[in-house]
Amino acid sequence: MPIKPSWGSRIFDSVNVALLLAFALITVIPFIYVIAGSFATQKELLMRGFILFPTEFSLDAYKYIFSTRTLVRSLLVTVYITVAGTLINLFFTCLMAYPLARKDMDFRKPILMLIVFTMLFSGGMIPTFLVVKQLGMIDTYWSLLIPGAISAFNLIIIRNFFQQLPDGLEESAKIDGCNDLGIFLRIVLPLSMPAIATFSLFYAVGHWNTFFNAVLYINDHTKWPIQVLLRQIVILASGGVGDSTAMESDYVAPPDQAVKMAVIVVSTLPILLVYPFLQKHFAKGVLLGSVKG
Amino acid sequence: MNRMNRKRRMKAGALLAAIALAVTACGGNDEAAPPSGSESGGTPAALQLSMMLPSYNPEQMPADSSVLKALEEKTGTKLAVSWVPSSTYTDKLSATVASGELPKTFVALEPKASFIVNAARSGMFWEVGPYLKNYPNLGKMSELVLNNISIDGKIYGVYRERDLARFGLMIRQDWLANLGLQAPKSVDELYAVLKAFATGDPDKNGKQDTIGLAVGMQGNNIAGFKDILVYMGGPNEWELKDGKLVPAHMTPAYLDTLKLYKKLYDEKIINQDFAIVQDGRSVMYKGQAGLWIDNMLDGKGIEDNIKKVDPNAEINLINRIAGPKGDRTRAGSGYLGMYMIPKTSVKTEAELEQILAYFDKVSEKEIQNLMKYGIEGKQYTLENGSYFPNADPKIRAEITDGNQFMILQNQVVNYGTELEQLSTKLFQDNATFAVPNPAAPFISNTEIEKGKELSKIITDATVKFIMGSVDEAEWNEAVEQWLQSGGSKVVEEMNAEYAKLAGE
Amino acid sequence: MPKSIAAQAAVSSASRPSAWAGRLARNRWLYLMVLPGLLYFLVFKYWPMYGIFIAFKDFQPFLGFWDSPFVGLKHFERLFGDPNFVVLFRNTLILAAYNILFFFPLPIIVALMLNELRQELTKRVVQTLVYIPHFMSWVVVVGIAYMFLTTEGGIMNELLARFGGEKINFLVSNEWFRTIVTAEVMWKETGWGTIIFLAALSGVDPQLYEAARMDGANRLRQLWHITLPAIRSTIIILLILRLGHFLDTGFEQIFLMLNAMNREVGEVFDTYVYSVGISQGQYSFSTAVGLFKSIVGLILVVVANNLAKKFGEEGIY
Repeated sequence: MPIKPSWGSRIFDSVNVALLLAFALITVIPFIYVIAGSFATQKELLMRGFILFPTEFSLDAYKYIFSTRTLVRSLLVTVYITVAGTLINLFFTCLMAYPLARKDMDFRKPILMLIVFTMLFSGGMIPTFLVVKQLGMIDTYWSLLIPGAISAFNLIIIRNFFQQLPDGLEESAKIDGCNDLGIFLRIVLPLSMPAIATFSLFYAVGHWNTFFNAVLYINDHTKWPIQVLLRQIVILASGGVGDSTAMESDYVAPPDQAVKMAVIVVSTLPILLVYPFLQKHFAKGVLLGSVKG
Repeated sequence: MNRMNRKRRMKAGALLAAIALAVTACGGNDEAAPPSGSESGGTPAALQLSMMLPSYNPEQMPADSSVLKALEEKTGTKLAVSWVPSSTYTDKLSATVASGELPKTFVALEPKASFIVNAARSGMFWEVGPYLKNYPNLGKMSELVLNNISIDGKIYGVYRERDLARFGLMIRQDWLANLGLQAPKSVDELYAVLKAFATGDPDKNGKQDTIGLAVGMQGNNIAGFKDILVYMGGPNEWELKDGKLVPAHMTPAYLDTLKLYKKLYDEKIINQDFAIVQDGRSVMYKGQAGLWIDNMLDGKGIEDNIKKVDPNAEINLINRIAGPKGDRTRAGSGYLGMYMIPKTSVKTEAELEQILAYFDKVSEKEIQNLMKYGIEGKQYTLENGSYFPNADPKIRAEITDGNQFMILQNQVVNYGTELEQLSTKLFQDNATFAVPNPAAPFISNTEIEKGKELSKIITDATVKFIMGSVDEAEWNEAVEQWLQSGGSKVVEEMNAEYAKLAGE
Repeated sequence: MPKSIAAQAAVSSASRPSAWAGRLARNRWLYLMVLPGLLYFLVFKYWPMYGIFIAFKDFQPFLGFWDSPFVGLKHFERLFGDPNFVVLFRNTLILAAYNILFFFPLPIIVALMLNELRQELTKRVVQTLVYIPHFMSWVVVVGIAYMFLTTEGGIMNELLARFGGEKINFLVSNEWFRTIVTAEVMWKETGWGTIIFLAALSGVDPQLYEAARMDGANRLRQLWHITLPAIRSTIIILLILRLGHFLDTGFEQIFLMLNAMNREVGEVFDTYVYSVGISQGQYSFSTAVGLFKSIVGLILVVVANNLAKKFGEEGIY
């Protein structure tokens, strides 16, 4: 049924596959090193440096990190922030992006300029901290969910995606008696699944990496997300105690390299697994195919 | 304009109100408690003390820690501790200082940082100096160290005591034995030992894979450099010469030390990648180097770590290295951070006195040991005077970072290993011949504003000289550049401060 | 209901406002949808905006934002008067140019290559693998780079030595700094960057390819005439947005890569501000430098956006 591919096309394909596989290999090898390292002994990591397979297999690092109260707790905090935060993000972002994508919307340009301006200029950490404080969000999870509810960057790109939807959609829906909210919910959103999937990923990863705001806004360490723990261990393991300005310092025993790597693995794997699940929404032609169909 | 608009505005208002409501409804319940110190004097209620402390561990002390409970009981204080990971402590502190949302007390790790100095000068913190003598333990604080923490001659906090001179050599004793060498006693012997470590196969593996001195860039300082500079007769940061303060890098001894390091580098006695090594101890951990120079407290940790690679490794401590001016060692500042009390959160003198009373209590022998080791029978047990820590991680966690609470440490019982006992002894010995930094109490405004930029000029040139990418003439140019970029102003201001003091 | 309002408006005023009122009424759902977002931007972005003014003040925490003394352009004079300013500006510009020239096109190319893959499974596996490095923090990435490049047993230098070459001290050299920094970014962020283009590509109608094949267009021509135009507006928008942050070079990575031997080419605004301003609590100076960077970004965004519109693109506003 399909036409037999030409020679040129076949060569193109094999070169393409080869290049991509090579690139994938380059990107994945360091991660394999981290995984291998998490099962290795301190001696092997120190003496051999870069390893892809431990000669002496050890589970000590995982035993240690799971023996702390911190790991599981902060992992749960992160999952909560990520899920709740992403839902909030998607709601607010899409809701705002759609009207701004409509050509018949008034004040579209000034509103967009207002948004772009916030990408370039910001009041800085301290005034933002004060706003969060004045809204009573300090020490609550709201401080990690609401102040970043909309990313101007994502908003502008989602708007661009919405703009590329065929123009005729709204007219036909209006004739069917839909109001604008109805059009958005019943027609635009279902057609934009690839965009939604993409931006859920972007937002989710952003929340997963929440670190500085957590330390800044939340004083109760039992509410800290996993990145705080990860960073502290990574920095301690690389020998920095964090405050190099002080003239005096106390000796802080660095955690074993394997512990560092085990924490990286445990804190990265869950979010890595999100993408493969979202991939089905990227299948070619989902968007227009379904419109025509 | 018309109903339409008003309606929208009302809707907007309602939405705003709803959001505000939702937000406050979820607000924290532990809002800063109203100042509890009774203004009338009399018998004050139990002190509610909120504090911010750095945590140097992956895990923080739980709020229901038995050690924390014991501390609260013994001091009659209700503590609310917010821990901040050490790696972010300075960021969080400066944000908190800037936003004015400070707890009742916090630790300033570097009291001479510009944001602390500026805040202190603008009157943000209580000046505690005049009160200290009213407290039995705080009254015994060292004049020298109090002088070191002072800002414009005033004392704005309670320092956390450390031994004054903790620097020394941590040497691979097993390597010395393998090579049949004696511990070095002078700079020349030190060089000979290092050379032998690098060339004589001290680990007996038949390979040329060892170096003498491990070097890293510890917080932008070349490890060991300041110590060797002092051994070589140089000053500790500033030299007092003919009644004038001269920065260390403008003394002849500095150039001698530079040349020695260059020699060590050229002869491959130090690790060739030192300029990119963040922590030189990592070279020791691998069992590739024979010597580390820094705080001798590192000794035990280094030994523990090398043993994972080479079970026969043994570390010894050396504190006396003689140079042209005899035995010398570098004095530190005698403290590690200080507790400061902001006026924004502690409004009354009565409450200030309560807090100082708490710090005084913390300095009692019993509490010193409580915060160091935890509760006997819980975090540790004593059998025939030997110390056995509890291995249960949950119980160990209850003492995590306990030493962050400590003020004076002079009555801590030393249950440590032989090496730790030795380091304590050597600290005391060091104190008898340590060279202090004569400029430590002074503040130069140019330095707090531009100090980092300026010191980078010198550090960079030092590294480049050692690695051979600049020669002596270019090194002198860098010093000239330092002077012109603000260094001469620093020298001027320091000398003005010194003259003020000398004139009194 | 809308009709009655419009009618009332028409009675009370001239015909123009009534047209407005009509539009307002017609688009009421759209306004309602924009409202929460607008409120968000006003509260969390514009309310704190007053913080920018401390660039013209000597901010003292204890005195607060309003009572800190006004110093005019002092901090800008310090920045522009710094003998290092020219070097900083040059370093930042070159690094940013490297980033746009060498890194920016890469995700597009890889996305196009992935799009050409016929086997769905290979495509998904490759996609998933290449985006992994995005999740590694810079501390880890730089640590691994050190391990590869160091002269003390690093793999690169071992290889060089085996083939009879001289060891190269990559990490402490002015010549290699920009290359390594850019290569690290390429390694870490390319896979992540492809995602957005793949999402854009998913919107292409497969029938277009079908038709092109019927017309005898080869793969390259299909790529050029169908695939590329489909993501053109996304590319342009991303480029404009990137220009807004032109002088942001990413602090953490550069900071970790910097040392005495490469500071001449490696010191950029972000690292300078950190060591001079932030770590010493000099908020006003840090804010002034940030403001300078923002203004440069604003100019670039406005120019680029107008340019895009001239070429018939939507632009970002």
